[in-house]
Amino acid sequence: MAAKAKGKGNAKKFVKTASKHVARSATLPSTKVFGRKVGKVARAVSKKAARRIVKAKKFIKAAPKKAKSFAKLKKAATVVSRKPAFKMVKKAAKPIKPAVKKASKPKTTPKVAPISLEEKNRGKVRVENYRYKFDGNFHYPSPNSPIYDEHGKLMGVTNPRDITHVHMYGGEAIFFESLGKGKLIASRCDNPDCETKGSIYMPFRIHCPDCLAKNTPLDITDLANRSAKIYTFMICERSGAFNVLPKPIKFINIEFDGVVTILMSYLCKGTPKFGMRVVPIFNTKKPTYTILDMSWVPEGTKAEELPENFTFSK
Amino acid sequence: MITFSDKQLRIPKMSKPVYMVTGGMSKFDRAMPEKRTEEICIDALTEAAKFIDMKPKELKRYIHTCYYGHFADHFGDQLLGEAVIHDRLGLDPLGNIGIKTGGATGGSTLWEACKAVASGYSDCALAMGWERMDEVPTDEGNNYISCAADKDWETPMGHIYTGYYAVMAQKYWQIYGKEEESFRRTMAEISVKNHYYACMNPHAHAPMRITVEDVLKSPVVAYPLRALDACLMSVGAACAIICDEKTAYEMVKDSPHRVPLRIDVAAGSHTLRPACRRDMEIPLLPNETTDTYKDLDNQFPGGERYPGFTGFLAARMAAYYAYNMTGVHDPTEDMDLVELHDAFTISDIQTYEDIGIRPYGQGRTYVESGDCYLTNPRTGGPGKLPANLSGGLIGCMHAVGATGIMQVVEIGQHLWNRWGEMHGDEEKWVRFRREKPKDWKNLQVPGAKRGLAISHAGVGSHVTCTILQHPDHVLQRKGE
Repeated sequence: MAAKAKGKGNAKKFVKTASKHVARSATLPSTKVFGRKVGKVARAVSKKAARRIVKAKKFIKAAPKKAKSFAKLKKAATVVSRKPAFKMVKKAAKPIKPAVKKASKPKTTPKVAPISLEEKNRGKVRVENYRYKFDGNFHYPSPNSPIYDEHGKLMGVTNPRDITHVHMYGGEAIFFESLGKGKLIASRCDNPDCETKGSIYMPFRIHCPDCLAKNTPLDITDLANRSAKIYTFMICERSGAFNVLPKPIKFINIEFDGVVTILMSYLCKGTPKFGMRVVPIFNTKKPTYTILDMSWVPEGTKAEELPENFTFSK
Repeated sequence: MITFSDKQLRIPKMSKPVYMVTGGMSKFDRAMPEKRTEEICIDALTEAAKFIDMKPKELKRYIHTCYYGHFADHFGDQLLGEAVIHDRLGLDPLGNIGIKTGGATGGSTLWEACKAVASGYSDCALAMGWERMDEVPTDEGNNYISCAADKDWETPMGHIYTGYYAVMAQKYWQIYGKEEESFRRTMAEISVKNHYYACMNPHAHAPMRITVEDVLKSPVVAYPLRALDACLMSVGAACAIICDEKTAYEMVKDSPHRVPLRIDVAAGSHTLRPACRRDMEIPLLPNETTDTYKDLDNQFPGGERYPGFTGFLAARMAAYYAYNMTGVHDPTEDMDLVELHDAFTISDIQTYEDIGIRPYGQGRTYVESGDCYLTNPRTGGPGKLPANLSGGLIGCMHAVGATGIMQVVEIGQHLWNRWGEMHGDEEKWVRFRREKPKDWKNLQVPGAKRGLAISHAGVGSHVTCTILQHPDHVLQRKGE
């Protein structure tokens, strides 16, 4: 008897969660994230959720008889409810993104574009005392759907998902942070006992690959402006899913005087050629803190020709 | 490192000889919606058992430990997929381990299985590799593959591995290919050859009868590489049974081929980010001297840097260890056939040089001389060192974890003189729902005694070199 009552109670709870989900997802605009229409996906989710509410209401009526199948329904409910990925979410109530605050007060800051619910709730993280503090949603579950063959025979199911990883840069953080400040930071082995002492590494290496001593960060912005030239290149017509760079992508590998490695990046203006002199540009106005904050243009390119948010070194 | 100590350059020596007893393969295809991964693996193991006239349950009784090559958990969407397969093969409670080294996963799996036997830990080990690459559309597949580049430094750039690879191809094309139309046609010829050989292979994913013009007109992926210059993205499995001498001979005594094959595997590596390659001296193979490269810079201006973006140090080191381990002096003279990792036509040419079939800069002549064919189209006589008679990665398959094992199984069938039997079988063509060509040709290399396979990861981060030898024709290691 107790099991039956519990089954009914949980099913009601499920309807509540699913209704909340429908209400939330119905307000979602069609936000383009990584080239996919999230709003569209959300609406599809909400339709599915609505169907599940009908199913769940029927279930409540039949709950005393079907208490045993509760586990199955609970699983279905998990699919449509948007629970935060981490339990710590409520503790981290302090907002870390000022834009979210602005969006909630449109009257005082009318110039700021409204932020979609999807974006507002997307997971954010900060680190306090060497611990992660999470805020928002870190996964967006979507229901699966069956796959049939042409005769109507079940072959399998789709398994969609949207997950946010929490990724640390460690000792390379200085490199990625500096891009947004218009600087190119390499590293150098200064260990007097190392046979390759004095080698300068770009890509930045935290430790020397030979002696494993910690390398010294080194600003090579001027060196890059002065000596960077194309070692090899490739114009790539295709990309993988989630690509955000305009196609064709002009991959270039760059040599610098006195640097022992050959940095890979991309040229955003002009046509690459072997030995061509190039200079770095940086996304200093709206940094993403990824490698894409750095790009290259042929020497002599004018400031007004640079892509939006990009500037020459500072 | 750019200099190596004597300890690092030590030639590996197995504690005892290791043998391959049998091997098997599934069908290979772009998608296999009718099968779960375990079914594909069971197909491969069943074929391996049948090949030595055993039932699967009899073969399983010999296996002591298992080595599973499965590169990409995210492709199959199953972490610890090895444990699933191990259970479904009914091999619990035996010890098993998963191995992943990108495109070289198959070769690395054999490497591990061989070491387990050589060490004495196991008398008989299973090396099984597979990949399930049909769960996502091709662009998402490319995204997944790009995750095998450095996620912070390279992956965000287009999420396309071909791009990271193509900068090297471009460098080779410019320096050693001199951007010559004739070189471009040589590259295309490799694709024509491998797709044609795939027509004789019922397992093969992409049998095609095409011309050099077809390759040159196929869509550009990353210039000068075109769609028909690139390898396949496949689903499939392959396996091999690796044993010590006593167990090996016991297992094959009632089989049609009656002898096992000596197997030796060696491995090399190089920076995952090509960007991190530093300049160094060319390590020499047994058939090279310092004079071999004294004029390289003059012959090919711009190629001063080694390995730069024109060679694969990992392949060179794998060949260095493997040749010296087994007594190979010159691969063209000592081998009867090779299976190379033709991920792209241009990287196939690069590999000819890395493993000493030709010196650096001369790779194209291996194709242009006709040496790489079963029947040399220039002379009409036998090719000196036929390459990729399976169809390779371009014509047969690239189901990543299985590829390196497929190559070795294919070579084994030649050395056992059973290639025609395994590829001409009418029942197999029907079972795989493929039509056997009316002009099907037996590609068996007559009298093959020794063969070599290269298994290569991505931008050259891992490479293995496997050498198979008929036990009556084993080379002598130097000094023995």
